[in-house]
Parts: sequence; structure tokens; C-alpha cells
Amino acid sequence: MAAETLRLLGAGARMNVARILRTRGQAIAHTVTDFIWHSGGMLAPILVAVRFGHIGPWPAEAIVFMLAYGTIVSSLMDALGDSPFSLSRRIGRGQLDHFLVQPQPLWRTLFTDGFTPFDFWPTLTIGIALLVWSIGPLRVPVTMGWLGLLGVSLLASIVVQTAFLYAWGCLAFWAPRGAEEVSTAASGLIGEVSFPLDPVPRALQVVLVSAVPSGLLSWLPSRALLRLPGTGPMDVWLTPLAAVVLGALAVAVFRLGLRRYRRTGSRRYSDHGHRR
Amino acid sequence: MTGDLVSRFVRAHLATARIAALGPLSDGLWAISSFGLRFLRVLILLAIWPTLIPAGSVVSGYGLAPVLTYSLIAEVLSAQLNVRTPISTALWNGAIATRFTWPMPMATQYAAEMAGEWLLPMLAISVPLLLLAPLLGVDPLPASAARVPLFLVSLVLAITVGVAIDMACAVLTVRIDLGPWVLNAARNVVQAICSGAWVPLALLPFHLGAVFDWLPFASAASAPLRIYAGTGDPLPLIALQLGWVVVLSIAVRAAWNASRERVALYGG
Repeated sequence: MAAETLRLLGAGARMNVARILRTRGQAIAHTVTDFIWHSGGMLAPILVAVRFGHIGPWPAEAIVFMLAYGTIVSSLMDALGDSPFSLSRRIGRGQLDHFLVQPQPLWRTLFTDGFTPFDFWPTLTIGIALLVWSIGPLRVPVTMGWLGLLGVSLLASIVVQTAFLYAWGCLAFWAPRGAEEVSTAASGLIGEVSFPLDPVPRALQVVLVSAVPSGLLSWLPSRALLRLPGTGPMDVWLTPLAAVVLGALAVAVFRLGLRRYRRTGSRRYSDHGHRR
Repeated sequence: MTGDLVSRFVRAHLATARIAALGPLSDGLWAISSFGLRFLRVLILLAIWPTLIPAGSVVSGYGLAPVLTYSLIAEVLSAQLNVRTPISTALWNGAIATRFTWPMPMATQYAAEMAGEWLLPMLAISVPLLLLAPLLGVDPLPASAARVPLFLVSLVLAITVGVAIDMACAVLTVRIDLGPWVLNAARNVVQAICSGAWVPLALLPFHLGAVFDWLPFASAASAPLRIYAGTGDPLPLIALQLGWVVVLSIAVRAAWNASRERVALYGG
């Protein structure tokens, strides 16, 4: 099972390299624009932090750490494929059938589809570089345990984002046409909050770590890892815990939706084959 | 005869705008699902500014009240200050092919469609934000009544500059054969930083704002916001906007004429 999954990921990586080598001009243009997109998303809050020296209780270096953390999460998400970002469109347009007819479990198809590890290396690199740079001035005691927590937190943030996108994308099982682009909306909702949320009212903070868990993609795990003022000793486990809960919820919703899809199929195409 | 032509021209554009306004509702209220982001974004910004600019202090010409008004109005008018016509998407999915047959100029038919698409967000987000402003601790009124007409002139010019920038991006999409979403993503970042629609340019470090003030991106967003919030001299701002309208209109028209033969359509 694992060998076949790795084989498919390897095939994705090979195709990624082949596409880059065959379309060098476009590959460079895509890489540059992706880099501007992701690094630019970091730049704006950093500029504000540099201008004022802080945002709330966060010094500029801590904000760099937080944004670098978020950049690593988003570039890894992009490298892992676009299934979470396009789930509602796949379901809404009946393209889930293309996955279901493949001679392998659906989870493996979704997990390995669109694996492009070499498209986002510049963004990932700058994320890692900024994260490493920011640790120095913040005097974080880097131990094996801390690095382990960093890895667990990054993985948990990726799971949180994936689960959130899957849970919303599943709405297309019930409203294939109206909710066809809900994954895009959900992606915008969760991905663009890049400020420390400490000054935000408590009620809004709760929303941003639960219903729309943007805060779990960088703010809360960074705050816990850096042990900023107001952080409790168990805070570092909040993101992994949320990942387990949201992951279970997303799996349950997806199964419910898939059960419905098995009964109804796609209603987007007329008998003559045209999309409604 | 000329009057009849003008009437048909106007009716055609109004019909295009009406179809664009009502189209998203044909699938129910799902169209408003993407608007939540805008509420969250402005609530976060409004919560952060008081930690950076304490009440009573002034930073680079901005006190707390003007900067809150600036942020709120930037969100209320976000569609108008970050103009996106559907032309890039149409270039990508092939819909532009039939548009060449419409008896309307390419730029104005897409501008009419864009204006129609503003209706739903305006009703679902902009109006509620203005009504809720006092509850959020923000004064939504302009700095003075005398600035209102100047603000409206500046807003129209800002939209015109924005359409010209959008057309320039469409030309770029044709010239370098790049998916529009790729260019859009990069453009989002450049405009977010350089236009002042997100953070007032004067509050950027290293005097970046003094440079960005002269770019067309600032004429497309920062200028009307500064006039509204009372942090900029209206006449020089409007004069610069007029300059960019003239320059960009000529340049983009020439670039489009030189590039339209390179439009390649495959559908999608």
C-alpha cells in the first residue's frame, strides 16, 4: 500500500520535472509569479511591523517567524497537490467520476493527485530561511524536542487547512451547481489572514481558531512555539488537537457526501452529455 | 441618428451590467459565501490599528480616527479600488471569441460587466459595513462635506485607472501566454502593497510611500481614500490621476492593438 503510494508520488515528481524542462520559459514565469504571490503575502505585514517595531505584543522578528511558518505551510500545501483547493469543482462538475473509475482507493488518488514538489521550492526556501533567521534574535532555545514540536505543528497546520477545505468542498455533494466554487471561497477565507490575532476581540479569536481556523495556520502555533507572553504550557498542543478534531469531522462529512453521491451521481450533465 | 446610436450604446451596456448583476443569484445565495473573508479582514485590521496608533497620537499624518475611516472605506469600496474586469478569464476560457462579435468596444463591454458584478457585494458587504461602522468604533463620514464632490471625481478617475491597469494585465496575459490566475496572484500582492488600499502608503517604512504615491496603483486606490479621510490635498491627487488616465489609456490601447492578433483560444 505504502509502496504504491510512493510510486505514484514519484510519478508526480517525474512529471513535474518533465513539465518544467519542456516549458522552461513558462516554468520560470510561473515560479517567479508564485514566488511574488507567496513572499508578497508575507511582505505587507512585515512592512507594517518594521514601521512600528511591533504588532501588539509581537516584535518584528516574531512576526517574521509567524509569516515564515505560514509560508512553509502554504508552499507544502501547494506542493501536495490541488485536490483540497478544487474539491467542490470536481464534485460539482461530476469529475469525481474520473477518480472513482481508477483501479485504486479514492484516498490514494486524492492524496497523490497533482503532486508537484518542484514548483514551490523558492517559496519554501525563503520560508525556511526566514524562519531560521528569526530564531536567532528571538533567542529561542532550539532543542531536538523543540524541533519535533515545530514539525508536529507544521503537520497539524497542514491537516487543519486540508480538513477545512474538504469540509467546505463537500457542500458540493448537496449543491453541485451552487457550491461548485465554494472551495475557492473557503481557500480565500482561511488563507489570507496574516496578522497576529492577539489584539482581536476574544469572540473573533474563537471564530478564527474554530469555524474559520486561519489562526491555526500560523498565529497560534507560532505563539506557542515562541512562548510569547500569555502563552500557556499546553498551547503548543492546541493545533495538533484541532487537527485531529477537524480531520475527523472532514472525514465524516466526506463519507456522508460520498454516500449521497453513490445514490445520485452527477446531475450536472444532461443525457445528451451537455453540462447544465 | 446619432442620438439613436448613443441610446443603443447605453442600453447595451446597461443590459450587460444587469445580466452580470443578477447572474450569480441564479444558483441561489451561494454567491455570497466568498464575502465572509471581507468581514473578517476589516474586523482584524480595525482591531490592530489601535495597538499601533494609540488614541491622541499622530503617525505620518494619520491619527487613529482617520486611519480607521481609511481602512473601513477601503473595504467598503474594495471592488472599485481594485478593479477586475472578466477579460482575463475570458481570454483563458475562450469566451472572448464571441465578444469580438458584440457591437460594443471590448473595454467598455467588460467594464459594464464588471460594474454589474459590483451590485451583490455592495448590498451584502459594503452597505452593512457602513451601517455597522459606529458599532465598530469607526466614523464612516468623510473629513468634511466639501471633500465629497472631489472624492467622487477622484473615485471615478481611480476606477478608470484601474480598468486601464486591468487591460494592461490582459495584454500581458496575451503576450506571455500565462494563465490569468497566475498573473492575478502576483498582481494582488503588488497592488496590495503599492496601491494603499490595504495600508495607507504613508505608514510604510523606508519612505516607500513617497515613491509609491507617484505610481498608477496609488492613483487607483490611495488618492480617493486620502481625499475622503482628509489626509491628502485633493487637487494635486486628482491632477496626478488625470495624468495617469491619459497616459495609460493611450499606452494600453496601443498595446492591445499590437497584441490582439496574438490572442489564441483553446477553450477550457
